[in-house]
Amino acid sequence: MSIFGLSGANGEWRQVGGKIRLSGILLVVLISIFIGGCWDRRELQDRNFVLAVAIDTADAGEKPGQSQAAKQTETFVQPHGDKRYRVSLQILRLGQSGRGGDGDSQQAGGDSGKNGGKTYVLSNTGQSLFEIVRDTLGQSSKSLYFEHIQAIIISEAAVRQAGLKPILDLFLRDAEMRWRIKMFITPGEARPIIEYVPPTKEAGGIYLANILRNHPKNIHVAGARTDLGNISVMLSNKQDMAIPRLEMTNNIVKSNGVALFKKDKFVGYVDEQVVAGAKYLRAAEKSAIITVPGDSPDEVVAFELFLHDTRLEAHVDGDTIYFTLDINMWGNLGEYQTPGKVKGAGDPAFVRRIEVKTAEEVKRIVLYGKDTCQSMGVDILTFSSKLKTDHPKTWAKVKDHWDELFPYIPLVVSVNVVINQLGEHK
Amino acid sequence: MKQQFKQWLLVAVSKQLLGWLLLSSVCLLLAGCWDQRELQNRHIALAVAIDVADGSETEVETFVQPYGGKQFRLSVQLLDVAPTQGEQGGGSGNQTYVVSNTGRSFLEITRDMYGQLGKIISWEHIQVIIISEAALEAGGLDQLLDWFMRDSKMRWRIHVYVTPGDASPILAYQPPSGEANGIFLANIARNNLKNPHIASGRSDLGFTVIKLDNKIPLVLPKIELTDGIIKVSGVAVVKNNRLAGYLNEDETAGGRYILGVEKSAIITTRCRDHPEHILAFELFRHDTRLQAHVSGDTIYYTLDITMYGQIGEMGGCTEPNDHNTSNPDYIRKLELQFAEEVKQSVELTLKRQQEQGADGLNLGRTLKIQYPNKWEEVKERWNEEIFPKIPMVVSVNVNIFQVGEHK
Repeated sequence: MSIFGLSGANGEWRQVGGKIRLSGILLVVLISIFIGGCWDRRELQDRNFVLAVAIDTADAGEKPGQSQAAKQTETFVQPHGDKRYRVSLQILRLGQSGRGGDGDSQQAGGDSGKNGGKTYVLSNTGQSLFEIVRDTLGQSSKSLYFEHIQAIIISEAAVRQAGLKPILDLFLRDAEMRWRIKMFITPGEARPIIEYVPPTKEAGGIYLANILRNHPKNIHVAGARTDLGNISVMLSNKQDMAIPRLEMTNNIVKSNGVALFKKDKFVGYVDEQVVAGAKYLRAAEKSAIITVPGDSPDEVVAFELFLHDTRLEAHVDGDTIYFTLDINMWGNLGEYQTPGKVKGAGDPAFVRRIEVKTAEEVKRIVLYGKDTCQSMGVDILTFSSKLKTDHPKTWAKVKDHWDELFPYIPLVVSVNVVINQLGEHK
Repeated sequence: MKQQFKQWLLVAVSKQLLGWLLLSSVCLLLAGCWDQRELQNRHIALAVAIDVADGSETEVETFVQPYGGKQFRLSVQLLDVAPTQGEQGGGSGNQTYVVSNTGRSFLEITRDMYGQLGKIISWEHIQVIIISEAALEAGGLDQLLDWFMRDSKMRWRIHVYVTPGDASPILAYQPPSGEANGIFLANIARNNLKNPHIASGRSDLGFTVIKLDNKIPLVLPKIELTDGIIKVSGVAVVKNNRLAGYLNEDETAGGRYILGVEKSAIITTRCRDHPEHILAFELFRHDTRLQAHVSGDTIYYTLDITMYGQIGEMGGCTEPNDHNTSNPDYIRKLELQFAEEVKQSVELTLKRQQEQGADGLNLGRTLKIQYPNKWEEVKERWNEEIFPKIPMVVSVNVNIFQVGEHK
């Protein structure tokens, strides 16, 4: 009996064990089906990567000879709104570069054919950017992916139509868009800029975005805190802002100066010197070249900034609000041009003279930048946010009429420059 | 004993021999290379364009026909299997080239075309058929498509496009992406999932054949090429094999809402307070029910659409405003507004189709399925009398779940 009992238990055990093993195998199979993750895969070559977006007015770049029919084809019948914007998308051409070589121009590609090389451009017009983008799929063989946009270029004319907010709403709302997208305003037409083939043969959008990444070495470029994420924050806080200006003339693309915005309204452009002044004031510079005349007016000395300590402080004295700016700069004598003479820079007294002159020059540039911004009524100097953090009570009092106060806020600037080295050659 | 062994040996040897024979004959048959034709020895046709013959073709490009006259021009796009650099127009992107011929019977035209080609044409990989408006008028859709329906080499998933202009230049167009043109054209139609301005997937050759056989009106996607810009948008409505008209992008979207064949869509509406700004809703999911109702002699339809989605774009209305997307009351207001837009779009499409007298919305089929007896009564008069006046009660419900990444 006991033997039977044992064998019975054993059989039962075998049955149960078998079930466990079977369900285990099933589980493994099931898991491997799910973690494969390939049920909705879409290969790289089946996607159209959008690298840059250019936004113009709907009638931008219209030439007298252009046929009306082509414009009709490029757009769609809208139930609402009018033809306000033209959205051009720069798309990466995959698997073509290897076969193409340099003269890879598409003869029948029309306008988009002008841009040989790694990218091409599709355009469409309408009012809602989302609607435009989706309708553009009628011109594309693959769906459009916006995760890799590098740059957004908006023409001045487009931004003057209804401000910045309607244009940027899609980019801020859609989950595909990154916050580190670089932004530009161009005084001319935006589309030719994304059709431009960089001399390096990089894809256009990557090239454009990388221009701004040079801002730590180039004081003339406003690349710090001007990307889509920063603009999103500033728009939501109703702050004034600066967006880098990008210009293309005679096949030369250059970012120079900035476009100033009061809230989301375009006010005007300012030059490189204002950008430099604002960067010194906001301590946004990493390196800079500051030139001053030497002992005689035909000499030029360039100071190369290595390190700085910048403090902007708000002061409230009764009813008066004023700011102080203390800058300490350390650097190198970068260049000393003395036409027609052989002259060294080894004299300590000479170096001290240059230090003083450079400090004066920095002060002049800062005040020039500050005065220009104040005359345009655009507070990109962070005066308001500084006052808000340092003196919240005063801010609460003045915030409603800040626009009137801002142009008259005084700034006391004190600059101290130290030249540490003279370079490799005296 | 010896005898037995001999016999056994004989049987064994003959069995072995038989086995060897079987093996080698199986090898011969299995290899399947007796009629092989390598890829590079075929012309792979990717696309076909049908135009009317306008007499512009060269004399060499045609042939003497016993019957039929020179009615159509058939252009065939062939894949360049080994494109050499800088072969045509300096473009390395030219992966295809086009040959054409004129005549009446397409099969005859293509066979005569072999006089221009070094290899036979493989038709299995055709991606698109492009029919010009003029050819559709001249031939009628069933006649133009007859060969494509009859020949066993044609697939049912071929996309059929109608173009208002000439069809053959579309085949010569070089896509900016550098793809082969036929594949590029076919893939545009696949974007219909995200773009409701393109006809739904139910407009390819297979579905077209079914509708032609059932003699019901149908829609085909419209393609246009002007000044180097190619675009698929809107549809051509075909009734009794002839073009009844076009639907524009908005009406195409409306038609897809009625049929419930949209996958995603952008629906716009004007801001109530700032009419110069428009807001956009992005459709994620929907539940669409089209129902036929018969009440005595009256036939009417109800369309119930429930849409789920998110706010895709706010117009950036001028400040200050009360457009607070985190306020549920405001969102409820927007839902009503978007629902009204869908309703208007649907009604507009129905009206346009009724004016065209073409039931491209399959209302007749719905009646046939739900009320077969009633359908028997009215089917003779359906297209001309009943459909143009059929009422539809539309009820749309929009649910906004999310407002995007930024309020």
